[in-house]
Amino acid sequence: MLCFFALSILGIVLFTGQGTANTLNSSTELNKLGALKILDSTNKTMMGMNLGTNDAITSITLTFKTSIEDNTVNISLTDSNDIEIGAGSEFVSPANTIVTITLSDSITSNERDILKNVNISIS
Amino acid sequence: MSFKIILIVGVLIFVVATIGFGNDLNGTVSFNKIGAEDNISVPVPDADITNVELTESASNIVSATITVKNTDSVSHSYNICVITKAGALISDTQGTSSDCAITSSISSSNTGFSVINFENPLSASDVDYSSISVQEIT
Repeated sequence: MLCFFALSILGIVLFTGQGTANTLNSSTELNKLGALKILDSTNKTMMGMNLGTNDAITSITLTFKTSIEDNTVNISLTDSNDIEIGAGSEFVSPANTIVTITLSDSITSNERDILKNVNISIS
Repeated sequence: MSFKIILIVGVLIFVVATIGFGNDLNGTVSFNKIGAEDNISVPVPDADITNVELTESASNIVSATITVKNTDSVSHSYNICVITKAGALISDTQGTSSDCAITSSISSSNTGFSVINFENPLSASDVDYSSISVQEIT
């Protein structure tokens, strides 16, 4: 009887010990991950995008394979919820493959961390 | 008397076992709900993407060069991955390790880059989408 009782207690301790004693903490370094998606709907093939090395983004330089002439290049910058956090446009004339867009709504230092999508279009 | 004790102990074991194993342990669907601590956000790396450049060879886009700036106060290296799409073509449909390249160690406030060579060259006239990820690894 005592043996049965002792084994029961041991079993209970084992079960509860497994469930509560082990910690499941993950390393804080494990998941430092960022992403950026670039959608180019200009049909001019964006070959390069320079966002600059400053903490804030006030202008973006785009390089296209095909030159653009008498058209406006638009850029929209959004976060992971597709909420626009930056935007700008630039009319290109004469023809050029390099377009520098000064953002009308610039990206602040804090916003740069949440920037997830860059949408480039032409109109 | 002994039967009552056995019954009580038996019920006790049953209750503990039910609590421990009978209940579903499914959590609600959310990213990184790990164990007892809800790590509800994925920390961003201490890096800014500063430049993206596609390289053309024989009318094909064959690689991407991604430059990042270390915004931390200590040195880091980063694993940068790129998937690019040109119409129906994808730079790598298999998802191989060649989609990623690790930068050298970048000191604080400096920039470094990775060159990712595409498994499948893409038609230069059709490139319309790129997805870039930056993981801080050291």
